[in-house]
Amino acid sequence: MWAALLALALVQVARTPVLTDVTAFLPGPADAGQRLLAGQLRDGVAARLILIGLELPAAASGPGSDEAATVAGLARAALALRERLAADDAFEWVAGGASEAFERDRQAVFDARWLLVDEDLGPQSLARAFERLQLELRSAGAPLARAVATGDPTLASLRLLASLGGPGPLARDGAWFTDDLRTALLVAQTRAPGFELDAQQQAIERLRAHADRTLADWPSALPRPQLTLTGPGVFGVASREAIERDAARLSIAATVAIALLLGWALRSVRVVALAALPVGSGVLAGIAAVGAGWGSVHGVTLGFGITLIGEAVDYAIYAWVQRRPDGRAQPQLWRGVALAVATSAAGFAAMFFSGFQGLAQLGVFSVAGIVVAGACARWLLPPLLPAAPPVPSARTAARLAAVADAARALRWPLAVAGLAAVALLVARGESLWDDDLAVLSPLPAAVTDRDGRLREALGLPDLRLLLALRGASLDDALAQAERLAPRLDALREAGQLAAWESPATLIPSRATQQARRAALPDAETLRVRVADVLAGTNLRPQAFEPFVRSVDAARTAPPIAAAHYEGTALGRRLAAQLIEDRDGATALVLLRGVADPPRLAAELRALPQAAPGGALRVLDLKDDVRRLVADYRARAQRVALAGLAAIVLMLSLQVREPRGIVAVAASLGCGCALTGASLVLLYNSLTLFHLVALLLVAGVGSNYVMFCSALPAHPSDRASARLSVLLCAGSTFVAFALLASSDAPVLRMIGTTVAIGVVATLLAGQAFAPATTPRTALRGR
Amino acid sequence: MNRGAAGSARRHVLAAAAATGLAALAPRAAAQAAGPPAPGAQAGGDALLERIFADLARDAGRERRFVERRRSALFVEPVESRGTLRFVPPSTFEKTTESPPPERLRIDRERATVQRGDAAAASVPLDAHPALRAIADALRGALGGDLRGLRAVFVASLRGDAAAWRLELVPRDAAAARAIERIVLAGGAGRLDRIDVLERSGDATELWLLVRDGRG
Repeated sequence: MWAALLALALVQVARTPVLTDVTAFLPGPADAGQRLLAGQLRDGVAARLILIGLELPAAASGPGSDEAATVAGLARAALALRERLAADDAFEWVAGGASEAFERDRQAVFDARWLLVDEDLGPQSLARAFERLQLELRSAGAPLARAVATGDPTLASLRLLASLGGPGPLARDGAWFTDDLRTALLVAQTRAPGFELDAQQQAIERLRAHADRTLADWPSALPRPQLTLTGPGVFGVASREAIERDAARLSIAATVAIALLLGWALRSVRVVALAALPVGSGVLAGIAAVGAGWGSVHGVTLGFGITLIGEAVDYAIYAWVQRRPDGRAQPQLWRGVALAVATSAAGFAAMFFSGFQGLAQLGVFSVAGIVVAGACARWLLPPLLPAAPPVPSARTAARLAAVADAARALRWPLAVAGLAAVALLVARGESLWDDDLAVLSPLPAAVTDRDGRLREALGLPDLRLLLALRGASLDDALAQAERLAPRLDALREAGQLAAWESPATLIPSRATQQARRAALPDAETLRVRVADVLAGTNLRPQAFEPFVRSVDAARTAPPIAAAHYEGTALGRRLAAQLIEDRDGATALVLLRGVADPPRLAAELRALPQAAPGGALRVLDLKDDVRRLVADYRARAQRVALAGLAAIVLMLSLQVREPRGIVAVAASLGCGCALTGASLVLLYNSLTLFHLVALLLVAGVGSNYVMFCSALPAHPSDRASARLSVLLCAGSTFVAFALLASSDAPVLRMIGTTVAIGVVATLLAGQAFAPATTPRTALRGR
Repeated sequence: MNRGAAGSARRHVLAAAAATGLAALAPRAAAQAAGPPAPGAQAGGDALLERIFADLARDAGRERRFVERRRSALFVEPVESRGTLRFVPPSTFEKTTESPPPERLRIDRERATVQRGDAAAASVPLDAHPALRAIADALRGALGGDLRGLRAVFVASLRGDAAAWRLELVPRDAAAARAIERIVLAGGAGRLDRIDVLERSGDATELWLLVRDGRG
């Protein structure tokens, strides 16, 4: 039957995909703003962008005689790569230097100009505009002004274009470059959403292949450029690789190490092999349970799979070591194992009730795994185990007792240290926690630095601050964005930001367009006005007939809508900035060159539009995510304490003796506090994952505490129990110490925490255990 | 920071174009760097051209006064301006206009920067504006005596002899050619005298370089 169940679990496991982006591990969004935020993080404006750099190796010489040739070669390669990417279905669009699309941008803005700007075409302002034009036509910028002058003598289209974008990257030989001309730049947007890492990975692989083919004919005389890719999708894929690689590698390493340890201690290959049975069953059951509940397993949850190796192998050890020579279990063994299962499960069950998907997954995974492993150890394992269990020799027994006594001698120093640890943790308060999501990124800082550099060179808006304007309809949202414009202009004048990008600049609300249209003079009026204004000047009125006709045409033109920008770069930007849903629409305003994000966010949040119920929401991707994580962590903290309390309560119910209860509570509390304090001393702050791992420490540690405080009466049973606890702690320590060597911060945090925790709880468990006088603290059957 | 901050109607076109960034960026085809060398207009033209440019190169760095006259379909009368031109090796030149309007244009390999009055200098990437780039390339090549540089961007054809020559330059780049029909350099006796720019719009600029003692 077990085999059938296992097979069932295997089928479920095979059907369960693994997710690894950290945002997916975050709680479900609590309100509309957080929902928008989470959406932006996972698949927003920037989540699909891949920033591409063709970078000369640092070793290559600086400006030299062949610099021009190298730069020209880089430009050619970048443009060729652009061609290839443009032809590839995996990418929605690609930009990098010279492009007809930008010419179309200009044209689109030029065509729509009279509905896009408030242009006073009255006699006085027209006269001033022509004066300015005359000046422009005599200046060095004459060719630029001349190009639009006959149709747009007020140069409205040029001013509008100027307000639309940032400075843009340096262009050279038709391609985009960083200012030092060492890196040619491209930007591509994948068709697949940013959080679909498989699709992202495919896109990245295709991109690399395109780059390889492009660089195949790179002249060998010149330094060969390297391909640099950054962006959310690239990071996501790299993180997944790092986590998966480490989780797999370290699981295997831990399995081998534990097998060696047990093999050495128990001198039985068969037992070691059998120990894998509860472990494997538990892990499979855990994945199957999570897969059944959610349809996918998060990579971090799997990282905790190693947890189960550490915990489940314990049951096998107890089952084997604490057997009597007659092959029967010690009288209290199964009760003890059941209690171990129950306490660990209690800790993790608490996570299930936290209401957060990531934690709930961990809870279900662990509870299912532990229960199945325990059951496996209880009913499946005993008949299979060799008849003769290991009996610790008298010498071993004496040593174990001596160690326990030595630990007991440390009880007061440990109690003091435990209190000091609690004091340290309490004194730090909220500053104890580091809720920055970046801490959890498994990527080295150099990678994110490079991303920042490319982003800056490309003139991409920094997406830390995002303004979301909500409306009952698209037009309503645009009108809300228009209302915000004067405030943003004022903030720009004050130097708080360099520029802002609102979709309403390109698609004004219907009302605004109507007002502008109504204010435009008809052809005859304007023609006469131009003639009047230009009389006596050096400008010929007839030359501006295109202007007169375009204004007249705009009076009856259909309103500008998103379709006007189809096929242009501006159109793509608009598509990203306008989000329609069932209940209405959201317009996103992007900001560039924000000097002090928290200050600007505070000022914007003080606007009447941002009041509760107002249309404006100021999203600070960094701070809001931090708050989200902090919120999450604070709730996880309560849940963890509840879990700890549940564990202590269960143990107390079993111990039923004030002195024993104090010992159990003191051991667990002291162990956890010491672990937390050690982590703080090591890393200065704790994260969410430290916290979850601490819960794990409580679960695993409770077993040690329990077995230590309820040693069997029979001396050889007692030695066996001590040996088993030591072996359990040893195997868990080995597994998690290995995990601590991971490059992925999440895995490293879990590993460090549990490795320290195992030592601390074991020590505390021994130290605070009642005196060696055997007690039957566990109620007999 | 200053790029987007000006924003008022006072901002002139160059400033606007500078901030545009995504501006035309019309394809300055890579072909221009790899294109075929320009043929000499006639047999022996190359040798003459080399000699003329060797003279110009020797003269490079000297400040020259100029008078510029611009004719346009928009103007009733041509407009005239005066100032000085100066080439700063290896690849920068400055055009200071005294009147009207007083302004200082500085062009290096990548950017044109204009300073007018007290306003903040505005800078545009030349690659974003093929017409500006073509004019800048011609002025730089002529004033600096850089024949190779000129020929990389223009198809050059020479008429006349060392005493009085005319070098016609047609942009190789398609985007530049859409705005600029041709640029004509004229000179003689080891000196550059005149630069004419004929635009596709029909507008034309004639720039006379004056000799310091008032001749020319």
